[in-house]
Amino acid sequence: MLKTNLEINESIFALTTGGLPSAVAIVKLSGSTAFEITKKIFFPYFSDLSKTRGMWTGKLLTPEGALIDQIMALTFVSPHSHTGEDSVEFHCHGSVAVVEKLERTLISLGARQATRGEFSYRAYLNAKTSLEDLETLGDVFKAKDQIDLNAIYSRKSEPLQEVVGRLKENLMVLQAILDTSVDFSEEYSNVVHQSFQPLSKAIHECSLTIQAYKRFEHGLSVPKVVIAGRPNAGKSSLFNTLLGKYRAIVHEEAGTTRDAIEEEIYLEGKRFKLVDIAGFRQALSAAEKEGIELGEKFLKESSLWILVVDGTVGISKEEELILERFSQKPHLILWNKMDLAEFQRPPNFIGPTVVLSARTGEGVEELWRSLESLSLKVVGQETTLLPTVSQVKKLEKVFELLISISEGLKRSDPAEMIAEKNRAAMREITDLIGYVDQEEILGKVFSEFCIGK
Amino acid sequence: MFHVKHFDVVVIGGGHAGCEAALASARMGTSTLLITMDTSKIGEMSCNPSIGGVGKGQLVKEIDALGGEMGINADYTGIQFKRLNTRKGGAVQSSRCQSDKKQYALRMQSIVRGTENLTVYEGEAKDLSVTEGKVQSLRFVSKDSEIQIHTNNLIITAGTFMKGLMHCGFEQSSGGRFGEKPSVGLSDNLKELGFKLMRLKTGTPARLHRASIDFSKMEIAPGDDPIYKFSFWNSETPLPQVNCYLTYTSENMHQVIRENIHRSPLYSGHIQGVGPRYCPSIEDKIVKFPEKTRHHLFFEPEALDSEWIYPNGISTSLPAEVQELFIRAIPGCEKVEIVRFGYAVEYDCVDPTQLTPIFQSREIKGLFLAGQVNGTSGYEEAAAQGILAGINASLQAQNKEPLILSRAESYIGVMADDLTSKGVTEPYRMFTSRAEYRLSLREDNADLRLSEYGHAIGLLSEEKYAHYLERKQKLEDTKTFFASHYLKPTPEIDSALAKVGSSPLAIAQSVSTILKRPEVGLREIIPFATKPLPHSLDDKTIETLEIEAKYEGYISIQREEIARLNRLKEHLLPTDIDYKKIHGLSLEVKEKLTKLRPKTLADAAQISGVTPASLTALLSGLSKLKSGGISAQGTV
Repeated sequence: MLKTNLEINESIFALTTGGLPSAVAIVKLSGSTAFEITKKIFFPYFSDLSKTRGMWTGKLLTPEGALIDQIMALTFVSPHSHTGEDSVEFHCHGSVAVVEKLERTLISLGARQATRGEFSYRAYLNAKTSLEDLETLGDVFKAKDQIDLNAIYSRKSEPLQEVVGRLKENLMVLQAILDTSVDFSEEYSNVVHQSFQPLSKAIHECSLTIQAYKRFEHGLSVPKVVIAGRPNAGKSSLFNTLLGKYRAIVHEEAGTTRDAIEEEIYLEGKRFKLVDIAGFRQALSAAEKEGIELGEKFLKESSLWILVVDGTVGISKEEELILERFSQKPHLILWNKMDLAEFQRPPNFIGPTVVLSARTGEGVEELWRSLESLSLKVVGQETTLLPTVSQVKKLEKVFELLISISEGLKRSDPAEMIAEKNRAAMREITDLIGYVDQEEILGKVFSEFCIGK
Repeated sequence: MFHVKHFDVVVIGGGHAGCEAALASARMGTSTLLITMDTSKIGEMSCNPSIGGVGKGQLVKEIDALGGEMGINADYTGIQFKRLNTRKGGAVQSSRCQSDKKQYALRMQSIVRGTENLTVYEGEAKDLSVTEGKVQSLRFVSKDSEIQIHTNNLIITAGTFMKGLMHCGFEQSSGGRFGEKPSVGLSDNLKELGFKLMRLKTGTPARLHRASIDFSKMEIAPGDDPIYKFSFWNSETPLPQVNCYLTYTSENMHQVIRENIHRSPLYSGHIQGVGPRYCPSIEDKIVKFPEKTRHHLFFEPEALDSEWIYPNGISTSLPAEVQELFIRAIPGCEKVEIVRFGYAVEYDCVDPTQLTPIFQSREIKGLFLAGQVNGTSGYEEAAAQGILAGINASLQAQNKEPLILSRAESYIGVMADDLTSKGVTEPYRMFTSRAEYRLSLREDNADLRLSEYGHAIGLLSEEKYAHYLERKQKLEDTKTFFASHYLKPTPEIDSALAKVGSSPLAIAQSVSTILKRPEVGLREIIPFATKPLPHSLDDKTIETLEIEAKYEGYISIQREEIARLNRLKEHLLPTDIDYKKIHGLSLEVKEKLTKLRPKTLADAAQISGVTPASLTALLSGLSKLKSGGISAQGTV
């Protein structure tokens, strides 16, 4: 199952920092010959290199004595290192030429380029890390904001455990019903129809968990802040004001669809997509209804929305309608254009309102405060349910099995065949729900059904 | 008079476990002694008059396949046969029969008496002597003799007799069965030998007088015709077949029980033993399932020439006058005469985790325990343990390797493993759901699974073995033939298929492939075979071929699962392994492993809470341990 230690003694290296050139480049060397190799090429300024844990500055030379770079090196002695092996980190200047020369030198001294994930693999083999920790690490790279990070780090806590607990319960009830129909057919000839309820619940729990991961993976968990309002209410200037304050550092991703103008902002540590539906509106023909113009479609998808009202005109019927329909979602009304003479105060029944002038900036401070406290509400609502990749793969298999059970039930397949699939489902997620002992199932049977003639 | 005698194997107790144990040992050629307090009670059915049932029928078939007596005895004395689960697939169908209780015991007694190498003594066994961790001798005492018996292999099948205490209301009397003395010395004897004992409880209903029941108010529950018998061998079912009757409890009856519940020793704390959840007393059913307005009851004749009716479903420990009241509230029982009142019995049993999977004590060589004394319930469970203990006691007497049956090959193995590795908290009964490979462990293939063993150990006679080989050959030839015999689509075949609701053949397909269709039976397609079959087909062959075809996908998954488990079995876990030092195991798993000390990775996998991830961690820890790994770090 696991590889033996045969190839583990070989030393491996890799550039562990990003693209070159850069300020610093770190090349990591790990393996039983790490010190032996290093002694041939690295010469500290103040003392000889010894096999101890340490931080050194010195010259990096080729075996022939040519200077490669002046560097800092960190040394680690087995087992006290990331991989559990002897290892050395070369902190060089981030030059393509330096790194290439160093790598060629290492190869000439018997080390080889590490394959993808090989450091982690060795760390795992040397019991420095567990599979779960590795998976967690994998997801940390995918995380987009603090909320994602929290979800990853709090994995073992409630949300997943709760869903999985319910999943287990429903799978066990399902098994109990099926087993009852086999083992106690005289008393309960017709219990199989009771399977549908726990089955559909189990399917729900399963897909809930799978979906949560998909959303995380595709970045769909990012909530949207939608700016709605009639033309000339001041949406675009608000959009730019918000961007000016909160614009996120955006790393372009493939496959992001854009129906309107979207930019990313950071509010209280949470990433949001800011959507200006003005861009959407302009793409529509004049014949489109105003309701659509106001962006119903976007409002439905929004986690938080802002209605910009022209304070010189007041609120329209359509705007009232929108307020009514989406009042359940966190929202804010911006009563704009307070700097103009025709401006009227907002009526006090319409909900959370900030009066401001997007043009002069008056009232904007209050906008920040209101928006930041609103964003916390959104964060509170977001579920932090997040399984790991391997858990999701297993859950997908369970999902498949459950669908097949559902089809089997509709076809009136024999209970023992359906039960077999359910057992397979429980086996599949033993890691998540634990080994289900038949005694537990029997416990359900005897508590749910009156058995015994 | 004082004598000294020697027997290879001694069996104490003549119930279902004792009979199978003694017969197996004697038939395997070892000199065997059966000691019973009352020879007329050998093979007695102390509770319900039936053999088999779902899961239990499979056990009977396995006993039969090994060369035991229960299946044959049930066939010869059955008065109603019924296949259960016939609406489900073949894999979980089970046999049951109503037995003529008297005939069942009488025939068993005559078999026991007529078996070579088997001696029966009537009296009591005392003073088991153990030295150097090995059984040496015991003392037999009867009215007119006392015999010192030397043996190194003793099987105790004490049933419910160890410190048996019967309850009928608050009246208590000592005994393991109505009118019979308890066995008091034995459990103290076992306690002295270091066995941990437990107290369990079971119950039996009142018996009713046939002529006083108005059966016209009940539904007739007939048996099957034709009969599907238990035994694979040449047994017969000579007795006339009779009906049972189905009736229901009434609201009135529930009311009587509710009003008198305080008089039940179960509900007043007079009974400490734990009763089975699957066979609750009627008071239990009514208290625990108040939403159920009626429970069904089967009225079963105890014997052809008996006036006694066994009312299945009203086992109780309520006092006699309450029993009379509530039984008379059953439709058809208004004027019923009760011939014996129901009672609960509490008894000592040993914690079976002190036994190995052949039911031998882990500490005392040559001491076997089988049957209800191991915390089980049911004739079939008892008999199955009896035959395995008898076989192994005999093998040990012959200095041969033990026969251990695995979970993957038999229900007996499932039971042996459950009992000896997990123990019991209530009387243990077999269910198909206990067998994770139940689709492979079927009634129809019990002989294919076990008869080879039965013959190898010298239990299954040459005659039966020849019969088995013939069946096996026939099955294999036919299977091969059907796999390569292709049927072309013709209007005739298609119309035959359409008759059973199956779609027409699109292309030529092998008989085996067509048979995989759930709705198609072999009988529908055999007429279209264009070549002569290698053998004429009989029902048994057809059954096995059909089941294997229908379940093929599932059975192959189970086979993979078995293979996976067998691979895990190859990884032995050293007994001195320090689980605390294994990286990657949760605290809970470490504690469980430390406590239970599984012998192999397969055993570890069966422990609740041990996940595949912990197995991987365990495996990696093991390989590090072997290679001397990075122990400097303090972990292995």
